[in-house]
Amino acid sequence: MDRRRFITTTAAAGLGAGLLSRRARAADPIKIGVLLPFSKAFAVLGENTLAGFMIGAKEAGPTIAGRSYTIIKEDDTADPSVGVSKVRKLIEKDEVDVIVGTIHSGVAAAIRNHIVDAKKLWLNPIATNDLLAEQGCSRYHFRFSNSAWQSAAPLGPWSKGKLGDRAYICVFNFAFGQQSAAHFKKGFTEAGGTIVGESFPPFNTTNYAPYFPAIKDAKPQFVFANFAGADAVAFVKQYADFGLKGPIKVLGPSNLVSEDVLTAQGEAAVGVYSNSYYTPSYDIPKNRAFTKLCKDAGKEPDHFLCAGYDTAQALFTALKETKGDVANKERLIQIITDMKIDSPRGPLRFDPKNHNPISDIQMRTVQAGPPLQHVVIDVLKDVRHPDNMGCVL
Amino acid sequence: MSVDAILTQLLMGLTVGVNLVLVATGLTLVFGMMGVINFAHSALFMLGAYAGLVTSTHLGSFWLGLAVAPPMIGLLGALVERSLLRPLRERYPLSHLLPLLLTFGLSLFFEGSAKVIWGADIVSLGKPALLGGALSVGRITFPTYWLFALVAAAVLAAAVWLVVERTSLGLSIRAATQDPMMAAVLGVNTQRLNTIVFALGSGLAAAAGVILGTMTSLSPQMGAGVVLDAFIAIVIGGLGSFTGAIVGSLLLGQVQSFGVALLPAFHTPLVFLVMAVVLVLKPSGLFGATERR
Repeated sequence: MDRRRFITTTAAAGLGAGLLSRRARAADPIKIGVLLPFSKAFAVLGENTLAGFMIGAKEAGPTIAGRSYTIIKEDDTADPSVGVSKVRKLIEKDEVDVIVGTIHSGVAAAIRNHIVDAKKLWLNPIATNDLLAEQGCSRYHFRFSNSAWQSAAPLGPWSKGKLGDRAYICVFNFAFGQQSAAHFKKGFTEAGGTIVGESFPPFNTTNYAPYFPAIKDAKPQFVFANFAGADAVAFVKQYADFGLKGPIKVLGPSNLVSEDVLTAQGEAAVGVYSNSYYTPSYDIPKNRAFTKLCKDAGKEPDHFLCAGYDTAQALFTALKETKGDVANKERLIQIITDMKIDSPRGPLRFDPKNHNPISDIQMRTVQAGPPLQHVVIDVLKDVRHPDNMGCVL
Repeated sequence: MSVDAILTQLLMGLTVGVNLVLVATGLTLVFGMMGVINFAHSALFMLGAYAGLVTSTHLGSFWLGLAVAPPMIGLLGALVERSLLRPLRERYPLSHLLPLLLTFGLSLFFEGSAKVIWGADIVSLGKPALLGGALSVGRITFPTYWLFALVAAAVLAAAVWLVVERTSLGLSIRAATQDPMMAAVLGVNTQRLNTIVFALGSGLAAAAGVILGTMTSLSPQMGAGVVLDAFIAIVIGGLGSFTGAIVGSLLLGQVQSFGVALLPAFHTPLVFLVMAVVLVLKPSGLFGATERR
């Protein structure tokens, strides 16, 4: 809020003309706070998510039912403490109506109470923290990617059948990595597989080589790996450099070899198995149209752009339905809960029990170039997060 | 742990260690001579990697990139020292804070510029075909490129060691890192030395940027982790000491490599534990002068 507006609104309130100030506020632009990492290791992921959101915003037009909107961007640097101070700034100083964010699971956990206590509508494009679909769920929160459970648990039975029964787990050492490892382990061992070893390199590791001799010694048939951004590039490149890729296959969630890192990984990524709710080469009309929108915006489509785009689709569709009224949170929540989104990934809807997304999960492998790309080799239908994990909306 | 695994771990640690020497050298020498921790060092490392990327893509050769990037960034370092750091230090000769703030500001500026010029995208510096693949001796498999990284950095570090320890220029540098004031009184042109050392340190960081960037990936914030490691290495080795930087870096490389293998759950704090133990036993670091200034 700038100083002049502060003075006018406080003056109006000071006159006791509550009605006047409320009317003045209704003409104000809708304020959308976007909290994403725009620097450090997750910078690209944040930029791409925002780009997807902006494509959706552009499609919706500059005004919603005659009311304009502004987007206030904040950089959480993928650091929980920074995320908290930025989200408080968005809520208390900017007084945003909606919060869109974020990517890092730790940041999502840290900002959760601040947003929920302030009763702000929270659209979470990426952060996969399971808690947000379990004890930490909230009626104000909607997720547009998948939970860590959705991206890892179904891989257990799948890989037991397709890749072998001896697996090694190597994931980065924070909420997202730990959770995905636990889910994979559960699904895999329940299907009869054996985990032969585990290692947990810290976030932002650049040298993975010291972890390799232990992996080799454990003699697994494949490694379940979960890294993102620069970490994923370093891991996949060095894994191939040290000659492990041939004998020991690699499987991971989409971020391990997603489009933001695939070019940098190059040939080293060929043959890596992954899953995702979105694959750029997936051939349906909505995705062809989305791909064109991305290219027009100077971007290559990926699952961050897709989730950012779907976030914007849901938000602006709901706002159009309420004719730009953001004050009635419950109505917005109801509209989004009932919404069937025509996503580039295929149909997307929300689980009314935990507001977690329900969509297909595609199993892919990286095919040698050019162009270096994912090819879908299997589709797991309508994957949904278990709804008996303590979520009360 | 098998003998093969120990040898592999040793080689990995050595590769990282010698490259850390290249980064740590500039940091420690600049501190020794000017009393400034150069916060822009990580940015110079990063700019070196990008300079290598740009030249190698345009000239079509990794080798040219590796050859051109260090002198380019060295020149940039000299420019920074001459046009910014020196005037500031002349105007406020007693302040250690202002040069620190200047280099911190520069690091933000360089990282921001890199983001504007090259984008936040993660990009990769391709290794030459000659260095693709891996060498196998018995059960040990080591990538050819890593071996090259080890040898190249070792040769560079040895060359710098020769200059610092065996030439009259090196003698002046060592004198000036120990006591700049006394060296100046005795007729050493410390101003010129400051520029030379800053340029040398920047160039070496750039070389490490190209070599290590090829192993990992390039992004505007790629320098942060490496320079933090280099900083720990020079604290262990003794701030301002060149020998200390070498020993500290090599030690840190091994601590990291074997820490991961032997104490997987504890290897991050292990590095700091080693640093703490060294500082308790020898507060000025392994090779730091006990009483300075």
